Amino acid sequence: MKFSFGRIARELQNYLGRATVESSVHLQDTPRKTQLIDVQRRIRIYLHALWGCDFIIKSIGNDPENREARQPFIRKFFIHLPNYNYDLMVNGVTRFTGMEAYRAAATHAAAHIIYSRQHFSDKLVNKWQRAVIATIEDARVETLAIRKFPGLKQLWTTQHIATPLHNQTVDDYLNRLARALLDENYQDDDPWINRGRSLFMAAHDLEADNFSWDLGLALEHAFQNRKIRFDTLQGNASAPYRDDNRHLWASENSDSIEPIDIEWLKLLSTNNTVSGTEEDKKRPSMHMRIESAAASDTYVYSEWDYRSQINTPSWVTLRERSPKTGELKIIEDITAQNKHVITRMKNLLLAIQYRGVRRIRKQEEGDEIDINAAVRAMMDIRRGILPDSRIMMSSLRKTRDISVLVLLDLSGSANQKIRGQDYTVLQLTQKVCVLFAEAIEAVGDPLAIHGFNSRGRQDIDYFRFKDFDQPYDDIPKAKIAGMTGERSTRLGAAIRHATHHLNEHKSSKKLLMTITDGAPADIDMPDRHYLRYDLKHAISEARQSGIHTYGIVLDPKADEYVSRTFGAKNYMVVDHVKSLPEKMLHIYAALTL
Amino acid sequence: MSHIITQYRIEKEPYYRAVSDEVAVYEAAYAARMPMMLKGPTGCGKTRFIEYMAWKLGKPLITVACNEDMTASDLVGRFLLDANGTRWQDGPLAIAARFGAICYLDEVVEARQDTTVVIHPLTDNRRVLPLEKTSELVHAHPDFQLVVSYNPGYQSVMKDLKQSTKQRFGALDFNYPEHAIEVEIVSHETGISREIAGKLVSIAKTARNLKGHGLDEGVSTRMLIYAGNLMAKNVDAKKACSVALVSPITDDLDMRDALDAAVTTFFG
Repeated sequence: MKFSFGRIARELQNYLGRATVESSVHLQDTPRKTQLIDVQRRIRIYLHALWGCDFIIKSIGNDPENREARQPFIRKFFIHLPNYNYDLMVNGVTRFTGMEAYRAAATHAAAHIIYSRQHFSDKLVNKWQRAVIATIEDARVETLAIRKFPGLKQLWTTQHIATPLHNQTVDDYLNRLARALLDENYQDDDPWINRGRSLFMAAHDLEADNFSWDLGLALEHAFQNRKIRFDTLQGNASAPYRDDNRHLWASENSDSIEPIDIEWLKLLSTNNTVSGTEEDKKRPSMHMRIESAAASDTYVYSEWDYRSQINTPSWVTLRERSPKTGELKIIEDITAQNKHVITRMKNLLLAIQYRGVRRIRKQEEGDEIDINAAVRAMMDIRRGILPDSRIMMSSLRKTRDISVLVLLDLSGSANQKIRGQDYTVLQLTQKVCVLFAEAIEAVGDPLAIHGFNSRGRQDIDYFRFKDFDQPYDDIPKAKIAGMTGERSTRLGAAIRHATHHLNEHKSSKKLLMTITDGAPADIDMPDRHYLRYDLKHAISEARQSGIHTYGIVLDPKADEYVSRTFGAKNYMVVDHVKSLPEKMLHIYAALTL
Repeated sequence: MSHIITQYRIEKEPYYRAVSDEVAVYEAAYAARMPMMLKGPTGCGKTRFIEYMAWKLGKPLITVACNEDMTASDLVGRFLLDANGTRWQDGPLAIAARFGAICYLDEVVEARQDTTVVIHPLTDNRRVLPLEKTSELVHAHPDFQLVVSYNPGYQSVMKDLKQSTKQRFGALDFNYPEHAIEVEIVSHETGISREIAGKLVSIAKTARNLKGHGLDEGVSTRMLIYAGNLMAKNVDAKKACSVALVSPITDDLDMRDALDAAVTTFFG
C-alpha cells in the first residue's frame, strides 16, 4: 500500500518548522477555504426550505471540459458550483466567507431556475448584446427573489466589488451595471449606468415576456458611442457568484425552445429528496434515473488500518448488484430433505419465552395491589415499623421485535468441499440460509439475506437476495438458488454496508449473522492481519449502532482468529446442518437477555 | 357538581381564532354526544380548540396525556391502600363518565392498543364503562363526551389506531392556519407587530417545506409564539428564532445551518 501517513506527517513538520516571521505571516493571510463536499448538503436543504422543491447541486470539476473553471453554471436544471471557495479578504477584513459565496451562487442559480422561463435565440444577437441581456435577466430574477426573501439582497450585495474606477473593458461596465441594478446605494455617475438604472426601475411588470430581451437591446444600443473595444468581452460574470447564463440561450439547449416547467421540477422534488428521515430513503429516487443507475448504487466506506491506527476515509468502493436467479427446485429439495430440522428450529424459536406477560413487583405505582406485599406492610404498621410502600405490581407485555440480517460470504473458496463431507461450502451456505429463512419466516420476524464478494478495494459486489420488507416467496428463493461463489472476501466493508441496511430498519433488537468459510482476504492485501483487524473494527462499529453480531463459520479450523474478531461468545463453527438448531439457540439466548 | 369535578372547569375564555366552521361543527357533534377525533400536526391548535369549546359549552374538561406505558387502569382506576384497607380510586375516564365532563385523550396513538380498547363501550350506543374490579357498570352522565387527538405524522406500522377504534369517531382536520390568520394569532398571543409576526410565519413556511425532507415535523404555531414571546422581551430576532424555532427541532448540523440561513433571509 503506497499510502504512508509517516511521510505526510514529516512534510507537515517541516512546513511548520520553517515558520520564520515571513511564513507565519503567510499562514495568517491564507484565507479560509470552503469545500463544496462539506457544504453541499446544507445548501440543498436551504434551497429546499426556501423554494419548496429540490435542486440538484453538482461540482463543476466533474465536467471534463471545465476542470479549472470556477464560474457556476446551470445545465439541464443541475446547478454546478466550484469545488472550493475562498473567503474574500479586503484589507485584512473578511468581506464575505466561502460559505456565503456558495449560498449566493446557489440562490442566484435557483432564482434562475424558478424565474427564467424563457430561452432566447442566440442567433439574432451578437456576443455583446447577449451579455447585456443576460445582465438584465440576472437583475430581474434577483429582484423577484428579493421580493419573496428580503434577506437575499444583503447576501448578494456584499459580493459585488465593481467600482466606478473600473472603466477599462466592457466587462467593467457590465459589472458596474449589475451592481447598480441590485444596490440602490451604489454611487456611480456614468450616464449609461444611470440610464440602465432608470429603465429598470421604471419597468412595471418584471414578469412580462421578453422583458430582458427588450430592455437589454435598448440599453445595448445606447452604449454604441464608447471608445472601448467590444472584442475584449471575456464573458466573465458580474460578480463571482453569478453563473455564466448559458442556460438562457436556445442553442445551449438541444430541445426546442420551450418554457422551463416548474411543475416538472416540483415532481422532481417529490421523488428526489434531501436525504434525512427513514421515509425519504424508502422513496424511489428520480435522481437515480437521471444519472446512471450504476452510479447511485455505489457506496464508499472507510477501512481500518491497524498499522497507523486510523480509519482511512473513502477507501473502499462497494456496488450493489442484482443477483442471478437459479432453479427453484434446489430450494424445494433442501426444504424437503430437512423438514425435521426446520420443525425443530421453529419450535425452539417459538418456545424461547418472548411473548407473554411478566409481573414486576415492588413498585410504588402500578396496576394492582400485590396482596402479599400489602399484608406485610400492614403488619409493619401494626408493629410500629415504617412500612415498605412498594406494594404495587404491574404486568409488562413483552413483544417480540427482533430483525435479522444474514450476510453470506460468496467468495471463490465457497466452491471447495467441506472437510470430511461431499458437499461444498456454497451448498452448505445455501442450506443454512434456507433453513433459517423457513424458521424465521414461520415465526414472523423480519429477515434479510445479503451476500458479497470482492476483488480489491475498489470492487466489492454486494447482493441482496431478500430484503426486510420482501416476503420469502419464489423471488428470493430463486435468487438464493442462483448464488455462486467467486473472487475474494473483503468482509469488513460488507459488514459496514450490512450495518447501514440494518440502521435503516426499525426494530428494538437487531442481529447481524455472518456466514463465512474462512478469514477475510483480498487480492490487493498480502498482509493477512490487515483485513482481520479491519473486520474486528467493522464489527465493533456495528455493535456501537446497537446491532448484535454473530459469526457462523464453516471452517472447522477457524476457532482461533474467529474468536478474536467476533468475540468469544459470538461465533460458532458449523459443518453439518443437523447441529444447527441447538447452535441457533445460543444466538437467540443472547438476545433474550 | 361534586368537588372533584369543579377543578376541571375552565373559568376564563381561552383565545381561539377560528379558521373555518369547526366551532359550529363541533357544537353539532356535542349535541349528539358524538365522539370526536382532532387530527393534525403538533402545535397547531387542537388542544386550544377543545379548551375553547369546553369553556363555550360550559362543561368541565379532563385531559389525559397518553403514552406507551399507560395501562387500562391508568384510565379507568385502581385500588389503593389506605389506613382502613383498600379503596377504589377512579381514573380520569371514570371521573369524566360519572360526572359528565369532556374527556380529552391527547396523542391517543401513543397508548398501546390494548389500552385504547377500554374506551369502546363508552363510544357507542351503550355509553357505559364496566369496572370489572369493582363489578360496577358506570352509566355515562348525559353530558359526557370523549375527544381524542391524533397526529397522523407519527404513524408507523407498530403504532396506529385499530379501524374498530377509528370508526367510532368523527374527525376534524387541523393544520397550520393560512398566512394571514397565523400572523393574527402570533401577533395577538405575543404582542409583537403584524409585520414581524409575518416574517416569523414566512420562516415557519420554509421549515414546513422541509417536512419529510430531513425534518420530521415543520415549525408549529406554538413555536412561533415562543419566538414572538422572546422578541417581545427584546431578545434579538435571530437569537429568538434560533432558540425557539431551530434548536428544538433538529440536531443535524446541515439542517440547522440551512434553517439559520433561512432566518437570515427574512431577518437579515
